[in-house]
Amino acid sequence: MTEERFQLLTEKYLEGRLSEEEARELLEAPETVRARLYDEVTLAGALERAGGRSAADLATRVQAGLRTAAEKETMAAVIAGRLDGRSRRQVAFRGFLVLAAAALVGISLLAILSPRTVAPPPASPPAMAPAAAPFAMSDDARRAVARGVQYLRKATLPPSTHQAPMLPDELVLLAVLHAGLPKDDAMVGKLLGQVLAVQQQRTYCVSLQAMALATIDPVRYQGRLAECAQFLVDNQCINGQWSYGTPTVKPAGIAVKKTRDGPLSGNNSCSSIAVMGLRACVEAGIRVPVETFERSIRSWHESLRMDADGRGGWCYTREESPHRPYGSMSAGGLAALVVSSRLAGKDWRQDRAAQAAQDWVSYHFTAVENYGPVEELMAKEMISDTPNSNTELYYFLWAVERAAAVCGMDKFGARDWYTEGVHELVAAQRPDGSWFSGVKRCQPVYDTCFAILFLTRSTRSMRD
Amino acid sequence: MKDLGELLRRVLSGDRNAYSGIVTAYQDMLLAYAAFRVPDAALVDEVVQQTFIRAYEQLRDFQVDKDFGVWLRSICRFMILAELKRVTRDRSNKENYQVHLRAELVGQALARPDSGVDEDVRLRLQSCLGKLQGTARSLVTLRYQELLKVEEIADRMGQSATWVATTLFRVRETLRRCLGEGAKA
Repeated sequence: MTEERFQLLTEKYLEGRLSEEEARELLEAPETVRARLYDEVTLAGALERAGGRSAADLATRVQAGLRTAAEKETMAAVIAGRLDGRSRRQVAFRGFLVLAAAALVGISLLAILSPRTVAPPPASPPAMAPAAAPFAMSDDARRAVARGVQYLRKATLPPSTHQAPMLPDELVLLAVLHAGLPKDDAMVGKLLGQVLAVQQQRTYCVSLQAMALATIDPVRYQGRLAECAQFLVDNQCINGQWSYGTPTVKPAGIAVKKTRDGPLSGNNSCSSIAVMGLRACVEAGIRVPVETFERSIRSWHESLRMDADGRGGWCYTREESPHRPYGSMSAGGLAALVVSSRLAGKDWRQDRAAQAAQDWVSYHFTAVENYGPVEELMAKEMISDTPNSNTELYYFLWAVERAAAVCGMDKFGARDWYTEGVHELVAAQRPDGSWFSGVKRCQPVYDTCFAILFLTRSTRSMRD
Repeated sequence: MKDLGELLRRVLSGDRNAYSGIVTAYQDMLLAYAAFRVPDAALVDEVVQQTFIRAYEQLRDFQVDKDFGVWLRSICRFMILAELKRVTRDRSNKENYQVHLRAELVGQALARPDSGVDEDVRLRLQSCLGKLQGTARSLVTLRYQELLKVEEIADRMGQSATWVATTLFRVRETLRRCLGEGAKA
């Protein structure tokens, strides 16, 4: 490109008159040309600013923006208040029925069980999740999932970030099962073989394994699911959280008893997945001590951080100072608290922490951002290859899906979380079929699995 | 500016109007920061406005022992990235080379470390502008203060558009040298 041509295109860029062909010409020019363009453009912008373009009304516009936001919030609160009043009336009668049923079940349980364990209904017949999908996936979402699976078939699975040589086989297995791959698919067979061949060592892997096995065949794999439950019960920390975990003993049968404690404390990420793994075990017929869920509830209560406006959520650990909630931990925590409450026989709707977290997620949910304190997001960027505003976005979206499923919510606030999430995911899918939030530890394989688990609405709802 | 701590206390206790004091105090710094990173003058004001609104929403997260300006810039950077992502992910823009060119320039800007000297640069630039004389000064006034297009300036000055574009380049080069000398001093 000649100097004269470059100068002409630069001025056209500054005037917003660049044609598509000219923009393409600059994009395809050597990097040094674009670096010069950047220098020219930013200096021109600074000249406009220095040359007297005033922003004197900025404070006024900010005040107007704040007023608009406050008005929206007030309106949302009024609407939520009306809806809440209506749903409370509906819940009152349903609550009576639930209490009556719970009383009958409770009396039977007391007669049968000692010590107390969570006795699930008979395990559901083995069913492949996609066939039982309770919603109609859009064509866009279906195509995106299929492309995601194609990517996973070809991808090299990265080594675990927590302990070599374990691979994220469990996460990929869970994702492709929900994407609709049958049990006799070669990829499913290979992953399943690898999962069953290794000793259970880490909380994330064991929890995901339980969820995958319960999806494939909860009867056939009941023994292995009992091992998963034993691992998770024994690795629960003294404060009720879960940490990364260490191997433990095998259970004698399907009634798991706690044989030891985990460390003093853990983190909310491991905890949120561990509870989902335990839920899968319980639903597969494994008996888990109810104290496990009661301790889990206590830990979520104790680590909740309330905002001044009455909303509350979680961050990674309770010890973080200052401890401020962010999206993925708050949505994942909400799901785990609700599941723990239900499995402990409690009504999560009466749980103030769950209500506060539901409010927090409803208020902050967007499908384009794992909302949180700026410092937190910036800190996470330091472990990414490139700066990005969607830090752990797909991990967050899967957490939202879990929370919405167990709470039975089609919307968070006024936001249709699933429709918005599908729109975002379809748009963000990369040409090779993967998703990637840019954070090193998430890696495209993980992010693709999280995206598939969201798109397929992989979490089953919980009935009252 | 009144004491920042006092303003923050008033805002946090519910006095939303007190926030205007904070906006006024930090707007030049933040506008300079955004102007050096967003190659779209119209978008600069929008991003800065959104930054102040976001900062207000997260004011309770600000740790008083930290630098408020650095905190604001980190939010601004985040808002620029969010805007960039929104634009480039819009499916109607997938084949839009202009959008991708702009995105690349923003990417270049954000890859540079935040030295926190943008406001200094802006002040030095004003000083350098004061040293321009004759045709150079007229050109800068017409282009960057009156915001005329190259063709319009060419008509007004009785010159060709190519001459205007080339001369503007030379003027910017002069200013860049002046800025460099200011930085050394």
